[in-house]
Amino acid sequence: MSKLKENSNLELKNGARIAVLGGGPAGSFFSIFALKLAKQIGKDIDLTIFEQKSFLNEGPSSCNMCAGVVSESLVQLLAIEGIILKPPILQRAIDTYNFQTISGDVLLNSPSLQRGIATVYRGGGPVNKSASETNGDDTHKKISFDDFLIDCAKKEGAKVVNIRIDKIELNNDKPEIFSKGEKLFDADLVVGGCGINATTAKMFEGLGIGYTHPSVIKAFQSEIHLGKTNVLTRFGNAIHIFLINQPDVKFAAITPKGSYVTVSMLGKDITKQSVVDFLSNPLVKNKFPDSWSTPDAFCRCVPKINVGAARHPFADRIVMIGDASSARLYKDGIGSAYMTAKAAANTAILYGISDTDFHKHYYPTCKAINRDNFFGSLMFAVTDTVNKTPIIRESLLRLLRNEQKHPESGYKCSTVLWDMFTGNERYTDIFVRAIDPRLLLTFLINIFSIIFIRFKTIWRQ
Amino acid sequence: MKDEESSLGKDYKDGSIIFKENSAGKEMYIIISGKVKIMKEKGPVETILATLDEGDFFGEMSLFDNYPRSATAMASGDVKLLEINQKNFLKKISKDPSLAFRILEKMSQRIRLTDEKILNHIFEMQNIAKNPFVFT
Repeated sequence: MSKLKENSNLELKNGARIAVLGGGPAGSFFSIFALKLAKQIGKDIDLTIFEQKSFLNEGPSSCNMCAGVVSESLVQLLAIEGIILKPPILQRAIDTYNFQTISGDVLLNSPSLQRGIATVYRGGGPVNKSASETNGDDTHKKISFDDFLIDCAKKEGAKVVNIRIDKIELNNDKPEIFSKGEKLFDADLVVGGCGINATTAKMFEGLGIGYTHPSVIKAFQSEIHLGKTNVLTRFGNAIHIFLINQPDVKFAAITPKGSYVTVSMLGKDITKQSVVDFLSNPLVKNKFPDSWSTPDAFCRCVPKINVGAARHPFADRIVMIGDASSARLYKDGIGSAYMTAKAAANTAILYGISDTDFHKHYYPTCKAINRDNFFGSLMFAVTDTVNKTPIIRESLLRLLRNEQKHPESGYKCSTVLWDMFTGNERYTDIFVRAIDPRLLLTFLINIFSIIFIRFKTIWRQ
Repeated sequence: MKDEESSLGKDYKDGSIIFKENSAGKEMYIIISGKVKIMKEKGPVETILATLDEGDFFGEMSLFDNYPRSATAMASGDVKLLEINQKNFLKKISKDPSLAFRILEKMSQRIRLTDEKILNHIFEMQNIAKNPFVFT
Protein backbone atom coordinates (compact mmCIF):
# COMPACT_ATOMS: atom_id res chain seq x y z
CA MET A 1 0.00 0.00 0.00
CA SER A 2 0.89 3.67 -0.15
CA LYS A 3 4.13 4.75 1.48
CA LEU A 4 2.52 8.12 2.20
CA LYS A 5 1.60 8.75 5.82
CA GLU A 6 -2.00 7.61 6.34
CA ASN A 7 -4.02 10.64 7.24
CA SER A 8 -7.75 11.17 7.15
CA ASN A 9 -7.40 14.94 7.68
CA LEU A 10 -5.70 15.77 4.41
CA GLU A 11 -7.15 18.77 2.64
CA LEU A 12 -6.18 21.27 -0.02
CA LYS A 13 -4.94 24.46 1.59
CA ASN A 14 -4.43 27.86 -0.02
CA GLY A 15 -1.68 27.60 -2.64
CA ALA A 16 -2.03 23.81 -2.93
CA ARG A 17 -0.49 22.34 -6.09
CA ILE A 18 -2.53 19.90 -8.16
CA ALA A 19 -1.02 17.87 -11.00
CA VAL A 20 -3.58 16.59 -13.52
CA LEU A 21 -2.03 13.87 -15.67
CA GLY A 22 -3.84 13.84 -19.02
CA GLY A 23 -5.59 16.61 -20.90
CA GLY A 24 -8.52 14.58 -22.23
CA PRO A 25 -12.10 15.35 -21.19
CA ALA A 26 -11.64 13.81 -17.70
CA GLY A 27 -8.57 15.94 -16.92
CA SER A 28 -10.14 19.11 -18.32
CA PHE A 29 -13.48 18.56 -16.58
CA PHE A 30 -11.69 17.98 -13.26
CA SER A 31 -9.69 21.17 -13.76
CA ILE A 32 -12.73 23.26 -14.70
CA PHE A 33 -14.84 22.10 -11.76
CA ALA A 34 -12.05 22.13 -9.16
CA LEU A 35 -10.95 25.65 -10.12
CA LYS A 36 -14.52 26.98 -10.27
CA LEU A 37 -15.43 25.51 -6.90
CA ALA A 38 -12.20 26.64 -5.26
CA LYS A 39 -12.83 30.20 -6.52
CA GLN A 40 -16.38 30.04 -5.18
CA ILE A 41 -15.22 29.18 -1.65
CA GLY A 42 -12.27 31.57 -1.80
CA LYS A 43 -9.54 28.93 -2.00
CA ASP A 44 -6.51 29.60 -4.15
CA ILE A 45 -5.20 26.47 -5.89
CA ASP A 46 -2.41 26.03 -8.41
CA LEU A 47 -3.46 23.46 -11.02
CA THR A 48 -1.34 22.17 -13.90
CA ILE A 49 -2.52 19.83 -16.65
CA PHE A 50 0.27 17.68 -18.09
CA GLU A 51 -0.59 16.60 -21.63
CA GLN A 52 2.03 15.51 -24.10
CA LYS A 53 -0.25 15.63 -27.16
CA SER A 54 -1.39 18.64 -29.07
CA PHE A 55 -4.97 17.99 -30.12
CA LEU A 56 -4.68 20.42 -33.02
CA ASN A 57 -2.93 18.15 -35.50
CA GLU A 58 -4.65 15.71 -37.83
CA GLY A 59 -4.70 11.94 -37.45
CA PRO A 60 -4.67 9.38 -34.61
CA SER A 61 -1.45 10.62 -32.97
CA SER A 62 -3.19 13.85 -31.95
CA CYS A 63 -6.53 12.29 -31.14
CA ASN A 64 -7.96 10.59 -28.07
CA MET A 65 -9.60 8.13 -30.42
CA CYS A 66 -13.30 7.55 -29.88
CA ALA A 67 -16.52 7.83 -31.92
CA GLY A 68 -16.88 11.43 -30.72
CA VAL A 69 -20.55 11.38 -29.79
CA VAL A 70 -21.66 13.62 -26.92
CA SER A 71 -24.95 12.32 -25.51
CA GLU A 72 -28.02 14.55 -25.22
CA SER A 73 -27.85 14.31 -21.47
CA LEU A 74 -24.23 15.51 -21.43
CA VAL A 75 -24.90 18.29 -23.97
CA GLN A 76 -27.55 19.59 -21.56
CA LEU A 77 -25.36 19.20 -18.47
CA LEU A 78 -22.51 21.06 -20.17
CA ALA A 79 -24.87 23.83 -21.30
CA ILE A 80 -26.11 24.26 -17.71
CA GLU A 81 -22.45 24.47 -16.63
CA GLY A 82 -21.91 27.19 -19.24
CA ILE A 83 -20.04 25.00 -21.77
CA ILE A 84 -21.88 25.45 -25.06
CA LEU A 85 -20.99 23.25 -28.03
CA LYS A 86 -21.12 25.12 -31.33
CA PRO A 87 -19.51 24.82 -34.77
CA PRO A 88 -16.65 24.38 -35.60
CA ILE A 89 -16.25 22.17 -32.48
CA LEU A 90 -19.67 20.71 -33.18
CA GLN A 91 -19.46 18.68 -36.37
CA ARG A 92 -23.12 17.71 -36.58
CA ALA A 93 -26.14 17.95 -34.30
CA ILE A 94 -28.07 14.68 -34.21
CA ASP A 95 -31.82 14.26 -33.78
CA THR A 96 -32.41 10.82 -35.29
CA TYR A 97 -31.11 7.26 -35.03
CA ASN A 98 -31.54 4.83 -37.88
CA PHE A 99 -31.57 1.15 -36.85
CA GLN A 100 -30.64 -1.06 -39.75
CA THR A 101 -31.09 -4.81 -39.41
CA ILE A 102 -31.13 -7.48 -42.11
CA SER A 103 -34.92 -7.55 -41.72
CA GLY A 104 -35.31 -3.84 -42.45
CA ASP A 105 -34.74 -0.52 -40.81
CA VAL A 106 -36.55 1.97 -38.62
CA LEU A 107 -35.97 5.66 -37.94
CA LEU A 108 -36.25 6.83 -34.35
CA ASN A 109 -36.63 10.54 -33.72
CA SER A 110 -35.38 12.22 -30.58
CA PRO A 111 -38.10 12.11 -27.90
CA SER A 112 -37.23 15.73 -27.05
CA LEU A 113 -37.89 16.76 -30.69
CA GLN A 114 -34.67 18.74 -30.90
CA ARG A 115 -31.15 18.28 -32.22
CA GLY A 116 -29.75 17.30 -28.87
CA ILE A 117 -26.75 15.01 -29.56
CA ALA A 118 -23.41 16.42 -30.69
CA THR A 119 -20.79 14.75 -32.87
CA VAL A 120 -17.24 16.05 -32.48
CA TYR A 121 -13.65 15.32 -33.42
CA ARG A 122 -11.47 14.56 -30.42
CA GLY A 123 -8.31 15.70 -32.24
CA GLY A 124 -7.65 17.91 -35.24
CA GLY A 125 -9.67 15.66 -37.56
CA PRO A 126 -8.81 12.83 -39.96
CA VAL A 127 -5.42 12.52 -41.67
CA ASN A 128 -5.17 14.67 -44.83
CA LYS A 129 -8.33 16.49 -43.80
CA SER A 130 -7.20 19.76 -45.29
CA ALA A 131 -6.51 18.20 -48.67
CA SER A 132 -9.92 16.61 -48.90
CA GLU A 133 -12.17 19.23 -47.33
CA THR A 134 -14.60 20.77 -49.75
CA ASN A 135 -15.05 23.88 -47.69
CA GLY A 136 -11.71 25.63 -47.42
CA ASP A 137 -12.94 27.92 -44.62
CA ASP A 138 -12.95 25.06 -42.13
CA THR A 139 -9.38 23.95 -42.60
CA HIS A 140 -7.68 26.42 -40.27
CA LYS A 141 -10.31 26.46 -37.54
CA LYS A 142 -9.70 24.70 -34.25
CA ILE A 143 -12.11 21.79 -34.31
CA SER A 144 -10.87 19.56 -31.50
CA PHE A 145 -13.32 18.94 -28.66
CA ASP A 146 -10.47 18.01 -26.30
CA ASP A 147 -8.60 21.20 -27.16
CA PHE A 148 -11.79 23.21 -26.62
CA LEU A 149 -12.17 21.72 -23.11
CA ILE A 150 -8.51 22.47 -22.32
CA ASP A 151 -9.20 26.09 -23.36
CA CYS A 152 -12.19 26.13 -20.97
CA ALA A 153 -9.88 24.86 -18.19
CA LYS A 154 -7.29 27.54 -19.06
CA LYS A 155 -9.99 30.22 -18.76
CA GLU A 156 -10.65 28.99 -15.23
CA GLY A 157 -6.93 29.35 -14.44
CA ALA A 158 -5.38 25.98 -15.29
CA LYS A 159 -1.80 25.89 -16.56
CA VAL A 160 -1.06 23.43 -19.37
CA VAL A 161 2.37 21.88 -19.84
CA ASN A 162 3.01 19.73 -22.94
CA ILE A 163 5.23 17.10 -21.36
CA ARG A 164 4.66 13.55 -20.13
CA ILE A 165 4.96 12.70 -16.48
CA ASP A 166 6.89 9.44 -16.48
CA LYS A 167 7.50 8.86 -12.78
CA ILE A 168 5.73 9.43 -9.50
CA GLU A 169 7.40 8.74 -6.16
CA LEU A 170 5.60 8.35 -2.87
CA ASN A 171 8.55 8.52 -0.49
CA ASN A 172 7.63 11.69 1.35
CA ASP A 173 4.51 13.39 2.64
CA LYS A 174 3.48 14.39 -0.85
CA PRO A 175 3.72 12.60 -4.25
CA GLU A 176 6.74 13.78 -6.21
CA ILE A 177 6.27 14.02 -9.99
CA PHE A 178 9.03 13.63 -12.55
CA SER A 179 9.51 14.09 -16.27
CA LYS A 180 12.60 12.68 -18.07
CA GLY A 181 14.34 12.12 -14.76
CA GLU A 182 13.82 15.67 -13.54
CA LYS A 183 11.69 16.29 -10.48
CA LEU A 184 9.03 18.91 -11.23
CA PHE A 185 7.35 19.45 -7.87
CA ASP A 186 5.74 17.89 -4.80
CA ALA A 187 2.04 17.69 -5.56
CA ASP A 188 -0.65 18.09 -2.92
CA LEU A 189 -2.89 16.06 -5.21
CA VAL A 190 -2.19 13.96 -8.30
CA VAL A 191 -5.18 13.37 -10.60
CA GLY A 192 -4.90 10.48 -13.07
CA GLY A 193 -6.95 11.38 -16.11
CA CYS A 194 -4.72 9.38 -18.39
CA GLY A 195 -7.25 7.00 -19.96
CA ILE A 196 -6.37 3.37 -20.61
CA ASN A 197 -4.33 3.72 -23.78
CA ALA A 198 -1.50 5.43 -21.97
CA THR A 199 1.42 3.82 -20.18
CA THR A 200 0.72 6.37 -17.43
CA ALA A 201 -2.01 4.03 -16.12
CA LYS A 202 0.70 1.35 -15.63
CA MET A 203 2.76 3.89 -13.72
CA PHE A 204 -0.06 4.30 -11.19
CA GLU A 205 -0.32 0.50 -10.82
CA GLY A 206 3.33 0.45 -9.88
CA LEU A 207 2.80 2.85 -6.97
CA GLY A 208 1.53 0.13 -4.67
CA ILE A 209 -1.69 1.94 -3.81
CA GLY A 210 -3.81 -1.06 -4.82
CA TYR A 211 -4.83 0.48 -8.15
CA THR A 212 -5.46 -1.87 -11.09
CA HIS A 213 -6.53 -0.43 -14.43
CA PRO A 214 -9.89 -1.57 -15.87
CA SER A 215 -10.27 -4.46 -18.30
CA VAL A 216 -10.49 -3.36 -21.93
CA ILE A 217 -11.49 -4.48 -25.40
CA LYS A 218 -10.46 -3.03 -28.73
CA ALA A 219 -12.71 -0.99 -30.97
CA PHE A 220 -12.06 0.11 -34.54
CA GLN A 221 -12.71 3.66 -35.72
CA SER A 222 -12.36 4.84 -39.31
CA GLU A 223 -12.97 8.23 -40.86
CA ILE A 224 -14.31 7.95 -44.40
CA HIS A 225 -14.38 11.03 -46.62
CA LEU A 226 -17.64 11.56 -48.51
CA GLY A 227 -17.83 15.32 -48.97
CA LYS A 228 -20.11 17.68 -47.09
CA THR A 229 -23.05 17.46 -49.51
CA ASN A 230 -23.05 13.66 -49.56
CA VAL A 231 -22.84 13.46 -45.76
CA LEU A 232 -25.70 15.93 -45.50
CA THR A 233 -27.99 14.30 -48.05
CA ARG A 234 -27.16 10.66 -47.29
CA PHE A 235 -26.81 10.70 -43.50
CA GLY A 236 -28.37 14.01 -42.48
CA ASN A 237 -28.72 14.43 -38.73
CA ALA A 238 -28.90 10.68 -38.05
CA ILE A 239 -26.51 8.18 -36.52
CA HIS A 240 -26.92 4.84 -38.29
CA ILE A 241 -26.70 1.70 -36.13
CA PHE A 242 -26.15 -1.57 -37.99
CA LEU A 243 -27.18 -4.90 -36.48
CA ILE A 244 -26.44 -6.99 -39.55
CA ASN A 245 -24.88 -10.19 -38.20
CA GLN A 246 -21.39 -9.65 -39.63
CA PRO A 247 -19.15 -12.36 -38.13
CA ASP A 248 -17.28 -11.22 -35.00
CA VAL A 249 -18.89 -7.76 -35.13
CA LYS A 250 -20.94 -6.97 -32.06
CA PHE A 251 -22.03 -3.56 -33.17
CA ALA A 252 -21.33 -1.09 -35.98
CA ALA A 253 -22.36 2.52 -36.41
CA ILE A 254 -21.88 5.33 -38.89
CA THR A 255 -21.77 8.84 -37.44
CA PRO A 256 -21.91 11.89 -39.73
CA LYS A 257 -19.31 14.63 -39.11
CA GLY A 258 -18.69 17.54 -41.47
CA SER A 259 -17.48 16.06 -44.74
CA TYR A 260 -16.63 12.68 -43.18
CA VAL A 261 -18.49 9.80 -41.62
CA THR A 262 -17.00 7.92 -38.67
CA VAL A 263 -17.38 4.15 -38.92
CA SER A 264 -17.21 2.61 -35.44
CA MET A 265 -17.04 -1.14 -35.02
CA LEU A 266 -16.93 -3.24 -31.91
CA GLY A 267 -16.10 -6.93 -31.71
CA LYS A 268 -13.38 -9.55 -31.73
CA ASP A 269 -10.28 -8.93 -33.86
CA ILE A 270 -11.73 -6.19 -36.04
CA THR A 271 -9.29 -5.32 -38.82
CA LYS A 272 -9.19 -2.96 -41.77
CA GLN A 273 -10.63 -5.86 -43.83
CA SER A 274 -13.64 -6.06 -41.43
CA VAL A 275 -14.31 -2.39 -42.19
CA VAL A 276 -13.99 -2.99 -45.94
CA ASP A 277 -16.37 -6.00 -45.65
CA PHE A 278 -18.79 -3.91 -43.62
CA LEU A 279 -18.75 -1.08 -46.16
CA SER A 280 -19.28 -3.62 -48.95
CA ASN A 281 -22.39 -5.09 -47.31
CA PRO A 282 -25.35 -4.15 -49.59
CA LEU A 283 -27.31 -2.71 -46.62
CA VAL A 284 -24.40 -0.41 -45.79
CA LYS A 285 -23.42 0.36 -49.40
CA ASN A 286 -27.01 1.42 -50.02
CA LYS A 287 -26.46 4.38 -47.67
CA PHE A 288 -23.56 5.67 -49.77
CA PRO A 289 -23.76 7.38 -53.18
CA ASP A 290 -23.95 4.96 -56.16
CA SER A 291 -20.65 6.15 -57.60
CA TRP A 292 -18.84 5.79 -54.26
CA SER A 293 -16.38 2.99 -53.63
CA THR A 294 -14.40 2.17 -50.47
CA PRO A 295 -11.14 4.14 -50.57
CA ASP A 296 -7.85 2.23 -50.39
CA ALA A 297 -6.57 4.36 -47.55
CA PHE A 298 -8.48 6.09 -44.80
CA CYS A 299 -7.77 7.47 -41.33
CA ARG A 300 -8.24 4.67 -38.82
CA CYS A 301 -7.34 3.76 -35.26
CA VAL A 302 -7.81 0.89 -32.83
CA PRO A 303 -8.59 2.44 -29.45
CA LYS A 304 -9.09 0.37 -26.33
CA ILE A 305 -12.38 0.84 -24.55
CA ASN A 306 -13.06 0.33 -20.90
CA VAL A 307 -15.39 -2.61 -20.17
CA GLY A 308 -14.65 -3.13 -16.51
CA ALA A 309 -13.90 -1.13 -13.42
CA ALA A 310 -10.54 -0.09 -12.00
CA ARG A 311 -9.68 -1.43 -8.55
CA HIS A 312 -9.08 1.11 -5.84
CA PRO A 313 -8.92 4.23 -8.06
CA PHE A 314 -7.78 6.49 -5.23
CA ALA A 315 -5.35 6.80 -2.32
CA ASP A 316 -4.16 9.61 -0.07
CA ARG A 317 -3.43 12.55 -2.44
CA ILE A 318 -4.16 10.47 -5.56
CA VAL A 319 -7.36 10.01 -7.55
CA MET A 320 -7.99 8.32 -10.90
CA ILE A 321 -10.82 9.61 -13.08
CA GLY A 322 -12.51 8.93 -16.44
CA ASP A 323 -11.54 5.78 -18.33
CA ALA A 324 -8.72 5.15 -15.86
CA SER A 325 -11.40 4.66 -13.20
CA SER A 326 -14.94 3.71 -14.31
CA ALA A 327 -16.77 4.21 -17.58
CA ARG A 328 -20.21 3.34 -18.87
CA LEU A 329 -20.27 0.15 -20.93
CA TYR A 330 -19.79 0.82 -24.68
CA LYS A 331 -21.46 4.25 -24.48
CA ASP A 332 -21.00 7.79 -23.31
CA GLY A 333 -17.32 7.62 -22.36
CA ILE A 334 -17.18 11.42 -22.29
CA GLY A 335 -20.21 11.41 -19.99
CA SER A 336 -18.42 9.02 -17.62
CA ALA A 337 -15.38 11.32 -17.67
CA TYR A 338 -17.68 14.21 -16.70
CA MET A 339 -19.31 12.28 -13.85
CA THR A 340 -16.12 10.92 -12.29
CA ALA A 341 -14.17 14.17 -12.79
CA LYS A 342 -16.88 16.26 -11.15
CA ALA A 343 -17.26 13.87 -8.22
CA ALA A 344 -13.47 13.88 -7.70
CA ALA A 345 -13.27 17.69 -7.95
CA ASN A 346 -16.14 18.19 -5.49
CA THR A 347 -14.50 15.73 -3.06
CA ALA A 348 -11.05 17.31 -3.30
CA ILE A 349 -12.27 20.89 -2.85
CA LEU A 350 -15.15 20.43 -0.40
CA TYR A 351 -14.17 17.40 1.69
CA GLY A 352 -10.51 16.43 1.48
CA ILE A 353 -7.92 14.43 -0.41
CA SER A 354 -7.35 11.44 1.83
CA ASP A 355 -8.13 7.84 0.89
CA THR A 356 -11.06 8.02 3.34
CA ASP A 357 -12.46 11.19 1.73
CA PHE A 358 -12.30 9.72 -1.76
CA HIS A 359 -13.81 6.45 -0.55
CA LYS A 360 -16.69 8.26 1.13
CA HIS A 361 -17.47 10.99 -1.40
CA TYR A 362 -15.95 9.97 -4.74
CA TYR A 363 -16.14 6.19 -4.89
CA PRO A 364 -20.00 6.04 -4.76
CA THR A 365 -20.03 7.66 -8.24
CA CYS A 366 -17.68 4.95 -9.59
CA LYS A 367 -19.68 2.22 -7.86
CA ALA A 368 -22.92 3.57 -9.35
CA ILE A 369 -21.38 3.40 -12.86
CA ASN A 370 -20.06 -0.12 -12.25
CA ARG A 371 -23.41 -1.34 -10.90
CA ASP A 372 -25.20 0.25 -13.82
CA ASN A 373 -22.90 -1.54 -16.28
CA PHE A 374 -24.22 -4.88 -15.01
CA PHE A 375 -27.64 -3.92 -16.38
CA GLY A 376 -25.90 -2.55 -19.49
CA SER A 377 -24.31 -5.93 -20.20
CA LEU A 378 -27.74 -7.59 -19.74
CA MET A 379 -29.31 -5.15 -22.20
CA PHE A 380 -26.56 -5.69 -24.77
CA ALA A 381 -26.90 -9.48 -24.38
CA VAL A 382 -30.61 -9.11 -25.16
CA THR A 383 -29.78 -6.92 -28.20
CA ASP A 384 -27.39 -9.62 -29.38
CA THR A 385 -30.13 -12.25 -29.10
CA VAL A 386 -32.60 -9.99 -30.90
CA ASN A 387 -30.06 -9.42 -33.66
CA LYS A 388 -29.45 -13.15 -34.12
CA THR A 389 -33.07 -14.35 -33.93
CA PRO A 390 -35.07 -13.43 -37.06
CA ILE A 391 -38.54 -13.73 -35.50
CA ILE A 392 -37.67 -11.58 -32.48
CA ARG A 393 -35.82 -9.09 -34.73
CA GLU A 394 -38.82 -8.72 -37.05
CA SER A 395 -41.18 -8.41 -34.06
CA LEU A 396 -39.07 -5.61 -32.62
CA LEU A 397 -39.04 -3.75 -35.94
CA ARG A 398 -42.80 -4.19 -36.24
CA LEU A 399 -43.30 -2.87 -32.71
CA LEU A 400 -41.04 0.13 -33.34
CA ARG A 401 -42.75 0.97 -36.65
CA ASN A 402 -46.18 0.76 -34.99
CA GLU A 403 -45.02 3.16 -32.28
CA GLN A 404 -43.76 5.62 -34.89
CA LYS A 405 -47.07 5.33 -36.83
CA HIS A 406 -49.26 5.71 -33.73
CA PRO A 407 -47.54 8.16 -31.40
CA GLU A 408 -50.71 8.48 -29.32
CA SER A 409 -50.03 5.03 -27.83
CA GLY A 410 -46.62 6.18 -26.59
CA TYR A 411 -43.01 5.48 -27.56
CA LYS A 412 -42.21 2.89 -24.87
CA CYS A 413 -39.98 0.59 -26.94
CA SER A 414 -38.57 3.41 -29.10
CA THR A 415 -37.39 5.36 -26.07
CA VAL A 416 -35.83 2.22 -24.55
CA LEU A 417 -33.81 1.68 -27.73
CA TRP A 418 -33.09 5.41 -28.11
CA ASP A 419 -31.74 5.76 -24.58
CA MET A 420 -29.73 2.57 -24.83
CA PHE A 421 -27.92 3.43 -28.05
CA THR A 422 -27.55 7.14 -27.36
CA GLY A 423 -26.25 6.56 -23.83
CA ASN A 424 -28.78 9.13 -22.69
CA GLU A 425 -30.01 7.34 -19.57
CA ARG A 426 -28.60 4.97 -16.98
CA TYR A 427 -28.83 1.31 -18.06
CA THR A 428 -30.66 0.55 -14.79
CA ASP A 429 -33.46 2.99 -15.69
CA ILE A 430 -33.64 1.62 -19.23
CA PHE A 431 -33.75 -1.95 -17.90
CA VAL A 432 -36.62 -1.13 -15.55
CA ARG A 433 -38.55 0.45 -18.44
CA ALA A 434 -37.73 -2.50 -20.72
CA ILE A 435 -39.28 -5.04 -18.32
CA ASP A 436 -42.52 -3.07 -18.07
CA PRO A 437 -45.24 -5.80 -18.25
CA ARG A 438 -47.30 -3.84 -20.80
CA LEU A 439 -44.30 -3.44 -23.09
CA LEU A 440 -43.37 -7.12 -22.74
CA LEU A 441 -46.97 -8.13 -23.50
CA THR A 442 -47.03 -5.94 -26.63
CA PHE A 443 -43.73 -7.45 -27.68
CA LEU A 444 -45.09 -10.95 -27.14
CA ILE A 445 -48.19 -10.15 -29.19
CA ASN A 446 -45.91 -8.94 -31.99
CA ILE A 447 -43.86 -12.15 -31.81
CA PHE A 448 -47.03 -14.24 -32.14
CA SER A 449 -48.20 -12.04 -35.05
CA ILE A 450 -44.91 -12.60 -36.89
CA ILE A 451 -45.09 -16.38 -36.24
CA PHE A 452 -48.69 -16.39 -37.50
CA ILE A 453 -47.77 -14.44 -40.66
CA ARG A 454 -44.89 -16.87 -41.32
CA PHE A 455 -47.15 -19.91 -40.88
CA LYS A 456 -49.74 -18.36 -43.17
CA THR A 457 -47.12 -17.75 -45.86
CA ILE A 458 -45.81 -21.32 -45.58
CA TRP A 459 -49.38 -22.72 -45.63
CA ARG A 460 -50.22 -20.78 -48.81
CA GLN A 461 -47.08 -22.00 -50.52
CA MET B 1 -31.63 19.75 -45.27
CA LYS B 2 -29.92 23.06 -44.55
CA ASP B 3 -26.37 23.04 -43.24
CA GLU B 4 -27.35 25.62 -40.61
CA GLU B 5 -29.44 22.86 -39.02
CA SER B 6 -26.19 21.33 -37.86
CA SER B 7 -26.49 23.49 -34.75
CA LEU B 8 -27.82 22.03 -31.51
CA GLY B 9 -31.31 22.69 -30.16
CA LYS B 10 -34.39 24.22 -31.74
CA ASP B 11 -34.63 27.23 -34.08
CA TYR B 12 -36.78 30.29 -33.39
CA LYS B 13 -37.20 33.04 -35.98
CA ASP B 14 -36.90 36.73 -35.12
CA GLY B 15 -39.97 37.91 -33.18
CA SER B 16 -41.36 34.46 -32.45
CA ILE B 17 -42.73 33.88 -28.96
CA ILE B 18 -40.92 31.15 -27.02
CA PHE B 19 -43.47 31.26 -24.22
CA LYS B 20 -46.18 33.67 -23.10
CA GLU B 21 -46.61 35.21 -19.66
CA ASN B 22 -49.04 33.19 -17.51
CA SER B 23 -48.78 30.11 -19.72
CA ALA B 24 -47.96 26.76 -18.11
CA GLY B 25 -44.28 25.89 -18.39
CA LYS B 26 -42.43 22.62 -17.99
CA GLU B 27 -39.19 23.52 -19.78
CA MET B 28 -36.15 25.67 -19.23
CA TYR B 29 -34.10 27.03 -22.12
CA ILE B 30 -30.41 27.69 -22.70
CA ILE B 31 -29.41 30.10 -25.46
CA ILE B 32 -27.05 28.40 -27.93
CA SER B 33 -26.92 31.46 -30.18
CA GLY B 34 -28.81 34.74 -30.58
CA LYS B 35 -30.66 36.96 -28.11
CA VAL B 36 -33.94 36.56 -26.20
CA LYS B 37 -36.06 39.38 -24.78
CA ILE B 38 -37.86 38.80 -21.49
CA MET B 39 -40.94 41.05 -21.34
CA LYS B 40 -43.80 41.73 -19.00
CA GLU B 41 -47.14 43.34 -19.79
CA LYS B 42 -49.01 45.59 -17.39
CA GLY B 43 -52.17 46.88 -19.06
CA PRO B 44 -51.22 48.37 -22.41
CA VAL B 45 -47.59 48.84 -21.38
CA GLU B 46 -44.98 46.24 -22.36
CA THR B 47 -41.71 46.46 -20.44
CA ILE B 48 -38.51 44.68 -21.41
CA LEU B 49 -37.09 43.23 -18.18
CA ALA B 50 -33.93 41.83 -19.71
CA THR B 51 -32.23 40.87 -22.94
CA LEU B 52 -30.45 37.55 -22.57
CA ASP B 53 -27.44 36.44 -24.57
CA GLU B 54 -25.64 33.24 -25.60
CA GLY B 55 -25.09 30.87 -22.67
CA ASP B 56 -27.83 32.48 -20.55
CA PHE B 57 -30.79 30.41 -19.45
CA PHE B 58 -34.39 31.28 -18.74
CA GLY B 59 -37.68 29.62 -17.87
CA GLU B 60 -36.12 27.82 -14.90
CA MET B 61 -38.42 29.45 -12.32
CA SER B 62 -41.47 27.46 -13.41
CA LEU B 63 -39.49 24.25 -13.06
CA PHE B 64 -38.91 24.95 -9.37
CA ASP B 65 -42.18 26.59 -8.27
CA ASN B 66 -44.63 25.06 -10.79
CA TYR B 67 -46.31 28.45 -11.22
CA PRO B 68 -47.24 29.82 -14.67
CA ARG B 69 -44.59 31.75 -16.61
CA SER B 70 -43.88 35.09 -14.94
CA ALA B 71 -42.96 36.85 -18.21
CA THR B 72 -42.99 36.44 -21.98
CA ALA B 73 -39.86 35.30 -23.82
CA MET B 74 -39.40 36.45 -27.42
CA ALA B 75 -36.64 35.76 -29.95
CA SER B 76 -34.70 38.91 -30.82
CA GLY B 77 -33.20 37.94 -34.17
CA ASP B 78 -32.85 34.28 -35.13
CA VAL B 79 -32.23 32.19 -32.04
CA LYS B 80 -31.17 28.62 -31.30
CA LEU B 81 -32.27 27.24 -27.96
CA LEU B 82 -31.58 24.04 -26.08
CA GLU B 83 -34.70 22.90 -24.27
CA ILE B 84 -34.54 20.91 -21.02
CA ASN B 85 -37.78 19.50 -19.65
CA GLN B 86 -38.69 19.58 -15.97
CA LYS B 87 -38.43 15.85 -15.33
CA ASN B 88 -34.99 15.57 -16.94
CA PHE B 89 -33.80 18.69 -15.18
CA LEU B 90 -34.92 17.53 -11.72
CA LYS B 91 -33.41 14.08 -12.38
CA LYS B 92 -30.08 15.70 -13.19
CA ILE B 93 -30.19 17.85 -10.05
CA SER B 94 -31.09 14.87 -7.87
CA LYS B 95 -28.11 12.90 -9.27
CA ASP B 96 -25.72 15.82 -8.92
CA PRO B 97 -26.94 18.56 -6.57
CA SER B 98 -23.84 20.67 -7.34
CA LEU B 99 -25.36 21.24 -10.80
CA ALA B 100 -27.70 23.68 -9.11
CA PHE B 101 -24.72 25.92 -8.11
CA ARG B 102 -24.62 27.75 -11.44
CA ILE B 103 -28.40 28.15 -11.54
CA LEU B 104 -28.40 29.50 -7.98
CA GLU B 105 -25.50 31.79 -8.88
CA LYS B 106 -27.43 33.23 -11.85
CA MET B 107 -30.65 33.51 -9.82
CA SER B 108 -28.74 35.30 -7.01
CA GLN B 109 -27.30 37.74 -9.57
CA ARG B 110 -30.79 38.41 -10.90
CA ILE B 111 -32.15 39.01 -7.37
CA ARG B 112 -29.28 41.44 -6.66
CA LEU B 113 -30.02 43.27 -9.92
CA THR B 114 -33.72 43.42 -9.06
CA ASP B 115 -32.89 44.72 -5.54
CA GLU B 116 -30.80 47.45 -7.11
CA LYS B 117 -33.57 48.40 -9.54
CA ILE B 118 -36.14 48.51 -6.71
CA LEU B 119 -33.82 50.64 -4.60
CA ASN B 120 -33.25 53.07 -7.49
CA HIS B 121 -36.97 53.20 -8.09
CA ILE B 122 -37.73 53.92 -4.39
CA PHE B 123 -35.02 56.58 -4.39
CA GLU B 124 -36.56 58.23 -7.47
CA MET B 125 -40.06 58.08 -5.92
CA GLN B 126 -38.76 59.64 -2.71
CA ASN B 127 -37.10 62.43 -4.71
CA ILE B 128 -40.32 63.09 -6.56
CA ALA B 129 -42.26 63.14 -3.25
CA LYS B 130 -39.79 65.60 -1.75
CA ASN B 131 -39.63 67.85 -4.84
CA PRO B 132 -42.90 67.26 -6.67
CA PHE B 133 -42.33 70.11 -9.16
CA VAL B 134 -38.77 69.29 -10.11
CA PHE B 135 -38.49 67.05 -13.15
CA THR B 136 -35.17 65.50 -13.88
